[in-house]
Amino acid sequence: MNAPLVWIVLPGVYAAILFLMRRWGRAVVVMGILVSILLAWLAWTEPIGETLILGSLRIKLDDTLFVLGRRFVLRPSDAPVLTMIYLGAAFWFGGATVARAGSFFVPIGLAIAALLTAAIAVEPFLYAALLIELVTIISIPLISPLGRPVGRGVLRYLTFQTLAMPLILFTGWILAGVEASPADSSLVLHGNILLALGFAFLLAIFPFHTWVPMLAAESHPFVAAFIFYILSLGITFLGIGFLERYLWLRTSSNSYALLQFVGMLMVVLGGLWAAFQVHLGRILGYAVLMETGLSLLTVSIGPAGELLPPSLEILFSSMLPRGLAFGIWALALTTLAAYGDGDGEGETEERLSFDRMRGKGRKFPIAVGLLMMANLSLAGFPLLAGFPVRLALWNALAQKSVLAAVVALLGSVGLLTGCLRSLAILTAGGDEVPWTMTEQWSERIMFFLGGLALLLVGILPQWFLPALGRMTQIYLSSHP
Amino acid sequence: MQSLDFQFLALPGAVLVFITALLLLSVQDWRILLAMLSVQYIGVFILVAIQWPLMMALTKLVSGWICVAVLGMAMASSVEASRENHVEGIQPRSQRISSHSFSTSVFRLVAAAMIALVVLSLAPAVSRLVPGIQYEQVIGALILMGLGLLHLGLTANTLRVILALLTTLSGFEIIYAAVEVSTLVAGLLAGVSLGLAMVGAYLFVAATVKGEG
Repeated sequence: MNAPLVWIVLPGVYAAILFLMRRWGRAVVVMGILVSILLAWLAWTEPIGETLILGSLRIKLDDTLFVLGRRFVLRPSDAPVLTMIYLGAAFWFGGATVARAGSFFVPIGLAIAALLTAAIAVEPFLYAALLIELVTIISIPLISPLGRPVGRGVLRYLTFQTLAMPLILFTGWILAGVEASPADSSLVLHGNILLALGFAFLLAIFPFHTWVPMLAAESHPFVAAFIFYILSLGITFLGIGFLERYLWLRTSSNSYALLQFVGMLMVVLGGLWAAFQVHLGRILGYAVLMETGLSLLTVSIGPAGELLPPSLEILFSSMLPRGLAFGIWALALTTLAAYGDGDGEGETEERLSFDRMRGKGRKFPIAVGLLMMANLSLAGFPLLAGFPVRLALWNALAQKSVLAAVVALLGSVGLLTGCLRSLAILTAGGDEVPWTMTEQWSERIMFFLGGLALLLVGILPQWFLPALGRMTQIYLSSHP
Repeated sequence: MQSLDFQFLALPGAVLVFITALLLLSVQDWRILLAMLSVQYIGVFILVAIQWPLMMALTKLVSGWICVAVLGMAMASSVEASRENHVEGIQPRSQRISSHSFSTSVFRLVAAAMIALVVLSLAPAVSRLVPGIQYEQVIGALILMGLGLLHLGLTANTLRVILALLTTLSGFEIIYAAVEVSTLVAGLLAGVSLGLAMVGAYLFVAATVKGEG
C-alpha cells in the first residue's frame, strides 16, 4: 500500500463510481462528503511512511507510486496540503445540495481533488502543469451544464488554461538549462518570460483575467466559486514548487519585486472593477482577482533567500477564510439567482444584474445578509474571518513596502464600495414593500452555519489559525 | 520498425502541416475541417517521429485521429439533434459552422502569411535554443503554434476554438518531443488532446440537449 494510491487512485476510482451513481443525488453528496472527510482525517492522523494498524492488520504506507517510469511521491510533509484539499472538498460538497450545483458536482469535484493531489505528488513536478490542464478539462461539464449554450467565459477559461500548459512545461526544460549554466543570461531571460507568461495565464493575471468575471457571471455561482478556489489552491502549490526547486528563483530579489508589482496591479484592478460593477456575479469574479493579487503580494514579502519565504504561513492561513467567504458568497448568489424573480428559469448572467436584483433583499434578507458578510470578510472587515489574516498581511506588507500596504488597503476599499453598492440596490424600495423571509429552511440552516463560521474565525482566530500555522510549519519542514 | 528514419520526410511534413493549418483557418464546412485536422496529424506524426521511437510517435497519430473521430461523431449528432429538437433561441446547426465573406478569407490569408514570415525569422533562433532539433521541425512547430493562436484570436466558435487549441498543442508537442522523451508525458499529452476533443464534443452536444436538472 502506498500514499498516492490512497489519496490519488482511490478517490479517482470513487469519483468514477459516484459519477455512475449520480441519479441518487443526495446519497452521492453524502458519500462524497464522507470520503473527503475520511481522506482529510487520514492525512492528518496517519503519518505517511509509517505502519498503519487496523486491528490485527498492519499496513505500511509507502510514499511512492511508480507510473510509466515516473514517480508520484507524497511525503509526510504533504499531509497538511492533503488535509486542506480534502477538507476543502468536503466543505464545498456540503453546500452542493442547497446550492443545486447539479449531479456532476460531487463526482467531478472529487476527481478534481484527486488530480490536484496527483499534481502535487508528480515528479518531476513540472508535469503538474499537465494535470492542472486535465483539471480544467474535466471541470468544463460543471461550468457549462447540459441544455445551456456555451458561454464565452467557458471558452476563454479553456483557452487560457490550455495555453499555460506548454509554457510551463517548456519553462521547466529551459530552467534545467539555467541550472546547468547560470551565466547564460539569454537562457535566464527566456526562462523568466515563459514562466511569467505561463503563470499569467494560469492565475488569470491582467490582461489574461477576462474569463474570471465572465465565468462568475455566466456560470452557476457556486460551481464557479468552487473552481476558482480549488484551482487557485493547485496553482499556488505549483508556484511554490517552482520556488522550492529553483534556488536562483527564490534568491533573486527581482522575482519578488515582479511578484509585488503584479500583485499590486491585480489588487488595484480587482478592487476598482469590483467597486464599479453592476452585476453581483462579476463582483465575485473581481474579488477572486483581488485575492489572487493578495496571494502574490503575500509571497512577495519574502525575503529572498535560501529558504522558502516565511510569509507562506500567511498564505496558508488565508485559505480557510477565503474558502469560507467564497462558499457563502456563492451560496447566497445561488439563492438570489434561483428565486430572484420567482420562476426559477433563465440565465444567471441576466438574473444577477443590478437591474434584476433591485429590492430583492426585502424577500431574501438572510441571503443578502450573508452575501454582505462574505463580501466584507474578503474586504478584511473587523470581526469577520478574513480580518485576522488580512491584518497580518497588511502589517507584514507595511514593513516591507508602504506603497504595497496602501495598495492592499485600496483594494479592500474598492471591494467594500462594491459591497455597499450591492447592499443599496438589494435593499432598495419604498417602505410599502414588506420584508419577508423567502429562503427555504435548508438554505437558512446553511446560511446560519456559514455566518457562524465567519464570525467564529473572525472573533476567535486563536482557535483556528494556529492549526493552519502548524500545517505550514510541517509543510516547510522538509522543503528548503 | 524502430530503425525507420523520418528525416527525409521532414520538409514534406512541415509543408503538410502548413497547408492543413492554413485550410483550417479558412474552410467553413466542419467535415472538411475535421478531414484537414486528421491530415495535419500525419504531418505532426512525421515531425515527431524524427525524434521519438516510432511506437511512441504513433501515439500522436492515433490520439489525433481519435480526437477527429470524437469531434466528428459529436458534430454529426449535434447537427442532427439541433434540427430534430430545435431549442428555442438557438439556431439549428448546419454543415457550415461559420459564414465568411470573401474579404474575411483574404484577411485571414494575409494574416497567415504574416505569421509565416514571423516564423521564418524566429526559426533560426529557436533551432539554436533547442539542441538536436531539425530546422523543418522548428518551422512546422512554429507554423502550427502561430496559426493556431491566430485562429484562436479570430473566433469564438466552439469547434474552431477546439481545433485551434489542438493545432497549437500539436506545434508545442513537436518541439517538446525534441527535449523530452517520456512515456508518461506522451500519455498525458495524448490525454490532454483527447480531453480537449471530448470537451469540444460535450460542448456541442450540451447546447442541443435538455439538462439533467
